[in-house]
Amino acid sequence: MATEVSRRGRKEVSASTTENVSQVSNAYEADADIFSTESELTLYLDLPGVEKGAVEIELDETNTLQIKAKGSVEEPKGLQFREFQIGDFYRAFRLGEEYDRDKVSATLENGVLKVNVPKREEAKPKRIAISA
Amino acid sequence: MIWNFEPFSELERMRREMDGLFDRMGFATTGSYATFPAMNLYESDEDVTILVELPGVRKEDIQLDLRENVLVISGKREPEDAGQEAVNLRKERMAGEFRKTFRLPVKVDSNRADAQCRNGILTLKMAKAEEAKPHQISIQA
Repeated sequence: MATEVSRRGRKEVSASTTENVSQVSNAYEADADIFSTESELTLYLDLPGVEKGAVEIELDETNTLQIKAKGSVEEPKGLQFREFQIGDFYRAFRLGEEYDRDKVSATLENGVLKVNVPKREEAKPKRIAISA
Repeated sequence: MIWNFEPFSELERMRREMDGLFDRMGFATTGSYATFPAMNLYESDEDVTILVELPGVRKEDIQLDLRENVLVISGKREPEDAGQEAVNLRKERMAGEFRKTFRLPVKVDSNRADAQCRNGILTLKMAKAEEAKPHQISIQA
């Protein structure tokens, strides 16, 4: 999917998607990779300049996974040339119903957020052993 | 909302669209993405500072070469390994080798350069060469 890769998703998030987000201002869309297995969903998001503790992740009752992050890059004075904007990040994904809201976990390392969203136990495939 | 006037970003966007077009036509060079990493450049009287977005790239995997006033940033970003049975639903993040060459607007002193990597942002600060610094000329009479 070359078009997806070559797009730098730094477009500003429109007001309609951020109206419920009070803390995040001037938010930019974070680039994401998403992988799915039988038991979980794994997301990787580029959050350059975000410190640990400045990320908020929520999977709500409408199965919307929201990720908000506050950037902490101090911009030097005297800008001559710009390829990326400095600000906060926001991204939302609508997931299926099979994911467990209470078991979302995440780690942030070197500006990359990894989010694990496991499926609910009853939604995971079960292998039935043949007993005889 | 305040819009900054940025003629470069519009040109950059057009260039990216052209890159995307070539990608779709099958001319893409595998594993190398022309505009990665994104960088900003700042200039003061004393120095030139560059911020580079390199999330997920270890500092051991970044190489910075400065010759005269041409800076080359190269390295490798490892693709995420989600296991064999994982299905990739979305891929927006560049992975693989990258190389970017940039001509600095002024001469810098390569012996007085300092690079720091933090939270996926590389900050490279280079002192300007003496002849590139602004000099005040006093009026004699």
